[in-house]
Amino acid sequence: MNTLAKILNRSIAGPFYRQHAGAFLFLFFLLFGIQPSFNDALRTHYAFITGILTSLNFFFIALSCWIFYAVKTFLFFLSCLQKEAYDFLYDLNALQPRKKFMLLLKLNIVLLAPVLCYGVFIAGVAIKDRHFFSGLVVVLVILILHLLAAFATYLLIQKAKFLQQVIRKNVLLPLPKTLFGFVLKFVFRRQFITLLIVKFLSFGCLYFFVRTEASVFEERMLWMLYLTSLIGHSILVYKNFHFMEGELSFYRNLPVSGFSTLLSLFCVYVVLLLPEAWALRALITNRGNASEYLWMLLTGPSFLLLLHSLLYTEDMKMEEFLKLLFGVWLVFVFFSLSRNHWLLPAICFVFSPVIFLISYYKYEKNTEIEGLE
Amino acid sequence: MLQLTAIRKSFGSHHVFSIDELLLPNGLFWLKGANGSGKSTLMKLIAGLLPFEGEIILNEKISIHKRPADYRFLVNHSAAEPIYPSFLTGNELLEFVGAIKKGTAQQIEEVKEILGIDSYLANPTGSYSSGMLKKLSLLLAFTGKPVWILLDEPFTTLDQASQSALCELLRQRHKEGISFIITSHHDIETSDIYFNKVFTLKDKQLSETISGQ
Repeated sequence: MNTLAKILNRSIAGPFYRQHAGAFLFLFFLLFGIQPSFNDALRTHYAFITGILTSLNFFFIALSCWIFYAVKTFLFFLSCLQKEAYDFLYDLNALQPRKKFMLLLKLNIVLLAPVLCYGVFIAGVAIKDRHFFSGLVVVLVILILHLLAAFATYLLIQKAKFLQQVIRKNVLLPLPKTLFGFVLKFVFRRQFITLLIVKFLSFGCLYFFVRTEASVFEERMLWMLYLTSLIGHSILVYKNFHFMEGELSFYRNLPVSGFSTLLSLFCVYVVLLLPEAWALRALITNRGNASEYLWMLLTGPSFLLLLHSLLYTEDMKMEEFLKLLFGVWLVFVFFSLSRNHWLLPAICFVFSPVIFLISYYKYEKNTEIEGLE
Repeated sequence: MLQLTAIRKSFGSHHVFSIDELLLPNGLFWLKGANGSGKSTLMKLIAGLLPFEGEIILNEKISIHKRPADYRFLVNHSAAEPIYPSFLTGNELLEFVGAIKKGTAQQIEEVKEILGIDSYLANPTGSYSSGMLKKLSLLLAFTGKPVWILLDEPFTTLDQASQSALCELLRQRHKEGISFIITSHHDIETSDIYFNKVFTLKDKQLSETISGQ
């Protein structure tokens, strides 16, 4: 390995794996650790691989996972490029195009190593079970994915200045210059991956659940699932809150009424929950349950608003916030068991403003206090 | 007029300062103090950025607690080390603050010209130097219809030309009836600026040091 490749690996691939070590560990546990024995794990993966080789649907599910992972590595590369410390990457433009491409291909091979490893196993199984054609397709797809990833990073370095200009001019996201627009912009720019994951899980679960035959599951299960998916959004709420109290702290000096701030935040959460609103629309089209749909539509953003308001009661660390979330979830699940589902949005609409208006101007970060004590 | 009554500020168990009674008529005031004496905390407190015990009343009727929006409409603040979302441009922030504080385009252009703020406002604040951020913060503080402007270390990180321009702007706005509280641990009293009173925050107490003109 030449010096340049080593530098790229140490400055990009290394930090990528270190930063995502927890996620990899979790994934590894999910894929191998929960099986009773190593042989069982092998059998499960053998079944997965056979599925990929024999079923087109299974293949597309695997492909979307690989693409998702490739996008993740690409975004990590992009975030590196935006840091001053990584300005040396632009020096790669001085290399011959072929050499530069090969260098970035090597980097992407390291970054996409988990996909490549699984690809090798798939090729092995394809040869063993004589699925030559489908095996060849999978290998080709993984190869193309690597080439595309290398090409994307190649273009990114070459066109970085142009892309930065595009981003600077906010061509990609023309949102209003209000609190609503700023918080949404923050979500789309800084929490994009989190948003993608949360939406993928939340939308997917709700969409398929609502379309399942009503007799299969009890109706109240949908509320439990919906409340759980809303709790999943709490990470976005938590980060929005800290964005407002950090980078946007000057907002506290602006003459804006509490209700106006609340309304802006409510609108943010309405926009964020649009995919869920779309997923749940089958409540009307398939089940003809318009009132239930209305209560769910109202509960979603108002519930997130309640979580946001609760964050003002005390400067909570994530651990404390999670405990609070569990408590709130239990209370709402309890109310969702009743027949009066209008109670859920009503609770949110009553308590959010009360808590917000009482706590907003009293809130202070603990970090400042701890530094002095 | 700004009236501070029974002010007590603590961070947890750490007591920062107490002010029993302070009456500031309209004018130009200099708040002095060593590093860590609580100058910025007092400024943030008057600006409504931090919670505290006590009461601040503006023009004998507008309480910071009872009429928070009205109070904040009349009191502007520029932080010692301003922080803004790095993905937002100066223009976006200016449009946002200008709309809320009811700043006119003419007023903004005038301050921009005096402070020498040029085309960089179209770029995201993440690309600004500390001096550029400071100028943006000053520009935002001069936007709207404030009766009090709180400037925390306004001369720090500014070049010589910008410092002179700021002095000129202060004089001009003061003549128009705006009152100022300025913090600095440097000697900022020049032939251009005369302070009505100078206060020092020391040993958790605020005391009047010199009576100016």
